[in-house]
Amino acid sequence: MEKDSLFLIGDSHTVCQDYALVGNDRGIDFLIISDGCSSSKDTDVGARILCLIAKDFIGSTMFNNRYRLEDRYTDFGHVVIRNARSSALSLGLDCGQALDATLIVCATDGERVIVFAYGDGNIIYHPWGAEPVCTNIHYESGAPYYLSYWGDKGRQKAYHDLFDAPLYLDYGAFKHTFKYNDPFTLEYQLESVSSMTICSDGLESFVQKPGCSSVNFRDLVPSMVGFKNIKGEFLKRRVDRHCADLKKCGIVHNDDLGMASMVFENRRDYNEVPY
Amino acid sequence: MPKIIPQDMDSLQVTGASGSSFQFSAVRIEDLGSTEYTLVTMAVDISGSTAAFRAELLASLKSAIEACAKSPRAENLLVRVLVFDDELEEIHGFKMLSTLDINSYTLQSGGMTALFDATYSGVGATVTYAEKLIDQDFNCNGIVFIITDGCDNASTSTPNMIKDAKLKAIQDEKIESLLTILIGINVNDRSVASALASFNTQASFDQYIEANNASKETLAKLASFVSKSISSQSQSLGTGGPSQALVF
Repeated sequence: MEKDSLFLIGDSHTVCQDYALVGNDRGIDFLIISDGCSSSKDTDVGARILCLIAKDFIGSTMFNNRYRLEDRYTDFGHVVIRNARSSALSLGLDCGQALDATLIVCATDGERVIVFAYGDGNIIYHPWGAEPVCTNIHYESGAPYYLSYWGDKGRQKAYHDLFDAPLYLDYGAFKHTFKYNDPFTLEYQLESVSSMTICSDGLESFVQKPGCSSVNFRDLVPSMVGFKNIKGEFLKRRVDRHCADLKKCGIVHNDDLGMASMVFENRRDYNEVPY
Repeated sequence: MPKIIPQDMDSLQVTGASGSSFQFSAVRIEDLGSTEYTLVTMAVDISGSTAAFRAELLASLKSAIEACAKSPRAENLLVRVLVFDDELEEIHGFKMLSTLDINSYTLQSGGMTALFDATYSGVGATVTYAEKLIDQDFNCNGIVFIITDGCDNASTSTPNMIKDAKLKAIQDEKIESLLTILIGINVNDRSVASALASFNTQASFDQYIEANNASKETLAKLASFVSKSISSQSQSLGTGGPSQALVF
């Protein structure tokens, strides 16, 4: 199994507020992305803090089968934001702004793949022998419900008063509706997965210039995850090439793009019989 | 005797316009992990006339490769070394610097000079492999050094074939950029100098370096020039064009 990540600055941005990383925590392979709010201060740093804190709690929390998945989601969110606030404070950052960032984590224990999403973004599940399926998470209000609101009653009330609107899980052909602060988890059987990719909402920001007419991001997905080879920096190679080809047609991504991917060479990647 | 290709390498072919073909080897693309590579070729003349400075030439070659291995771009270089007299012999195909064993390099001088064939093989192999890399989403440019002390007298390829191959590669976007550098060493015969200058023009080299001796100092300077040129070309990856020519 191979993993790779990337974050690219948006065409209209001066600082990249997306961050992405991959790794392994206590035998659990994971992907993490975070997308900082462009109207809050220092969220480029805050996005990194969230990712770097989250990576140390995946192994102990996400696959702890003694607890229900929704409870693990809540526990994970609380432990990440608590530790992230400490780190942000020690750096002299305003926690009421710097940590306003989404967080999406995708991890596997060799049998299942679990996704926890705190905020908007996209999860691309590519099963063996079929086309990739993109699950788009978006808030009808346009304002993600960040982890930074957890435990902050003042901000939670302000969000509720301003943005009490549903969260959509959009598969393209149909969509599910949730409350904006419902736990958001996905689970897949690993043997069905040829690749998993998580993306920030930068995937939805591709526009055709001049004029900036929007491009249907779902049309871009098959090429974004159509990896020609899966060694090393496979995601960077594919996305760099795809973005370069799009740019020749005048298509650019206005927003930062954070992505992380894991690919499996064959169905038996995790099921090799030990000698 | 047929050359055995290591299991981690692929054997590929360059076909010339005259119908001649050259084999070369390269690391399997599925084993490469970076996003971009500079393909480096060093073709070294081992015709009979180079026997007098063979040891210094070998030291220079090793020194150039050792310097490249210390570069911050070392992980993005794939190096091929071939030697030529009236035949071409690939010491090794395109390989990662970290896998090279320069202590195994030897130069056995003798024979005539297939200068044009060596250049065509250098350019052709670079373009052929680059095309495969780019098809697999890698970014790729190249630099080819032809090191010789004399004129061609044994080739089937022509300077025009070399020029056309290079031009077509750039026009068809088979490679981001390709620098070709002709290096004449121990050139103190006017007719040889004239022939190499003419070859430089006809084959559309980007740079021609002429040294009128093959002393230890000159070849050490050559090694430094080669490694710096490689580093410069590697840093230009992604810019769409080649690096600036360095002064020898």
